[in-house]
Amino acid sequence: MELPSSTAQVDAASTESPAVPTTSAVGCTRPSRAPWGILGIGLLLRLVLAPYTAWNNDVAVWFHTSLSGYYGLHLYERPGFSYPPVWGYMLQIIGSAVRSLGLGSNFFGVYNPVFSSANSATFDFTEVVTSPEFNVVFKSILIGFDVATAFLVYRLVKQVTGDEHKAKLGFAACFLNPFLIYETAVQGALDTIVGFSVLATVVLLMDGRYFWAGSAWSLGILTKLSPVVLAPLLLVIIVGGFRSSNKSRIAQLGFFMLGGAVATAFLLGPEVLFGSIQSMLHNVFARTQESVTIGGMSITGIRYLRPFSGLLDWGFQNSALLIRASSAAQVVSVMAWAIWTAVMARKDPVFATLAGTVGTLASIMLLSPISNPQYVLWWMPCLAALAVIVGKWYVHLGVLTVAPLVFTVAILGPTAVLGPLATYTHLMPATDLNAQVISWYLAPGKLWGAYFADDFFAPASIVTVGTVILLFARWIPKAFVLSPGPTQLSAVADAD
Amino acid sequence: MRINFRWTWVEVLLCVLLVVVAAGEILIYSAPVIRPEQSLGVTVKSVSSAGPSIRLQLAVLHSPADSAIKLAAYPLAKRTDLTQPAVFVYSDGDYPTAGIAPTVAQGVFDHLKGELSAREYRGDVTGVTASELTDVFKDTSKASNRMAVMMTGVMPDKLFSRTIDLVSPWVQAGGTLVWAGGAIGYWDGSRGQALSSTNVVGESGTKRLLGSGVIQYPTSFGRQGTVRSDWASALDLGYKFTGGGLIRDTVTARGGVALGWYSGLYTSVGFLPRGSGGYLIFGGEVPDEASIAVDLTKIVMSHPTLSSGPVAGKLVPLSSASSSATVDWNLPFNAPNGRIMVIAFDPSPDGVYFASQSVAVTGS
Repeated sequence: MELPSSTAQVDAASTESPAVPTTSAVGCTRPSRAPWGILGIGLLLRLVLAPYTAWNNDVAVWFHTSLSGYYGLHLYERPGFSYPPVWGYMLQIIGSAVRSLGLGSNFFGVYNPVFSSANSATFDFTEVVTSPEFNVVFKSILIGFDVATAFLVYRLVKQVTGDEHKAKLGFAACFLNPFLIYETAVQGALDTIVGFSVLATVVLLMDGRYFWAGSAWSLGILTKLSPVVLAPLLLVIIVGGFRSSNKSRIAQLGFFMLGGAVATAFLLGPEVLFGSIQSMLHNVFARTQESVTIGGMSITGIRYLRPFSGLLDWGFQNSALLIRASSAAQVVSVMAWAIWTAVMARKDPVFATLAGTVGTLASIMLLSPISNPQYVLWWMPCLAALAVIVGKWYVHLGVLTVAPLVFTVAILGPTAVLGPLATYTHLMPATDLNAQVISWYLAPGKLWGAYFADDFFAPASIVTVGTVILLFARWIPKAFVLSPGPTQLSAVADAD
Repeated sequence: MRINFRWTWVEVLLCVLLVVVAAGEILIYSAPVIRPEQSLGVTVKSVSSAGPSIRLQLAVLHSPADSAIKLAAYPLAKRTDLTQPAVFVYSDGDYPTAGIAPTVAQGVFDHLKGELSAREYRGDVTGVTASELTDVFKDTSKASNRMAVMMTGVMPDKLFSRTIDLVSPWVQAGGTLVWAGGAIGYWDGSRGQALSSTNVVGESGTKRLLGSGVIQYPTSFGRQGTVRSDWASALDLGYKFTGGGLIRDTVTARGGVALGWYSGLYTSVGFLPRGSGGYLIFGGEVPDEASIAVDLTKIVMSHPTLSSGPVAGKLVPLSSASSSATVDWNLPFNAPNGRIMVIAFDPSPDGVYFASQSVAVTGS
């Protein structure tokens, strides 16, 4: 078994004994600076892209949610925001702040009727166009989470490897990741918050900060529910005793649950206070009762190949069966990854924890009836950290960056995100954009897809699924082969 | 050498995030913050008859953030019942639908309830299944203060079929039925079964409900209106589909109101009175439940069915430099029954301010 630099184990004593040297001390032997240059480049890229781009089908929801705050309506009083409340709170606070500043509702955007035909032709495009100002404001929050996530990767890599160069590489792999930049600065997707919360949970747990790990996990769940699937894995990590501690395992679990409960109380408090819990549950869960379409970055993405195009109709007609089968497979995969992590952690807890997290979330994505490309962001930071720590799988990371990006851009074509540019400047006529979106959406396939977009979807989806499975194939056997035994993280640091 | 993870900054970040987000949300709904957000207000200062027109003076209170207010006015017919009816919105996943997007049936209820609530509608808004709607229709004694919303394109066969009709008696008794999703009465639907040729009631079904000469067969899927009616203009109504829409001349000839967008003979939205109640028909498919719910909310809250005919609309820009404005408006009609309805609403996207008031005209 070869795990060059991740063969590490976190030792609680290290955090509790002020007498022992720390990673910072290791860092002090090699004077270095935080990755400000990379940070500057990443921020500049994002701030250039943010104002005049948006995926209007998604940001229309952000637009309405902020307007609800602007008009003093509770988050779930009007339907539309179908997520747990964290991101909605932030949007509502923006709305209220805009009102307090005396700015008009046009701060948030406008309806551009030119886009009505693209709307009715595609059902993925709306007439709502968010303003450059609003784009910058709400995307700035998302960019803030990108920054926090990248620093988490930076600190994690530095602490595990003691290598400043690797730490900066990890920061760059995350913060300059083109897919992350696109999703945050162009699309305005909230999944970066989930990515942050997942990595924060894992890191804090590895460090024995159970209370705040629980809080970070709750933050993720109350942003987009998906981190809830990590429950068995987190339980295994906590009670598995990967980490020596003077606290009993029951106490560790108790602190973790207490942190989760306190954060949940904070975040759901406003809904309880305003009597909106019922509305929230309805808005969040109603969408799961609809008939399902299949595809995206899951194994059902095979339907983009012309011979399998009939799967779409089959899935729609057999939604109930599909959901049951998918849910069962997801439960099995979640449990399997928890067991794998328990076994692997005896040899290498850091690797086991990061790979187990990626494995769990990526399996959920693969086994969902439909998975949006941005789901990759839930686990991308963990994978970036793992790849840099181990010094492997950079190609996989690259593929898992490019393929979702291609898929995303191919949905309505490369110009579809330019609604704000076409509406708020004279650089591009809105009529041209409208025509381009319709033309792209309806164009017939030239290679293997029924539609032109399918020609991109099929390889992007299959490559993503294949790459994830390849990673699993590399990781899974490591838990079941003989190894020389656990290597202390301190040994790595000493070797440094 | 031992390693000490240093993650205190993450803990601080999480702590700040939790506190700021939760406290911020509570703060923005606290009374001192909410009050300026619901700042628009319109008061009728005077209404006087001036020959063939009516002179109306209004005072508008607003905040710097309010950029405009939309006004509408119409003369009231004799009936001036401004009660806000109980609304029953039909959605039943066990029954088929037609001419609507998959999310519409449930979505219309969610959005309509939200839009009416945001505008402080006082009537109840309830979601009902086919069985529950059957009970509503059977209770004709309460019909006059009830509205049923059926935006599913298909009537459940326990309500309406070739042999059953619980709808007409209920409407005759005073109920208002709101319909969308294609020609009303064309389809009936059976529980748990997809639509088939056996579910076609056809043109005869439409005629049984609305009478003859109201909807033109064959209907034309996808047809859209291109010219706004005075009502659509006054209330900023956006629904344009006319494929199964009412013939507007017939509607007005029978005492109804053409409210929508016109394409030739047809109106995208129209109210046809039948007995003591009537049908409010959205004449075509429903691709988007949110916008149609907003249109219906405006219609419900402005009571156009009480109109004696004409309507006028006016967009009033508001200056950010002052917090009040006076509006003088000459309405191009008189009030044969001595009263007019004055409506004011925020025309901004998602604006929630909506007020309607019946006022007496002096000197009429």
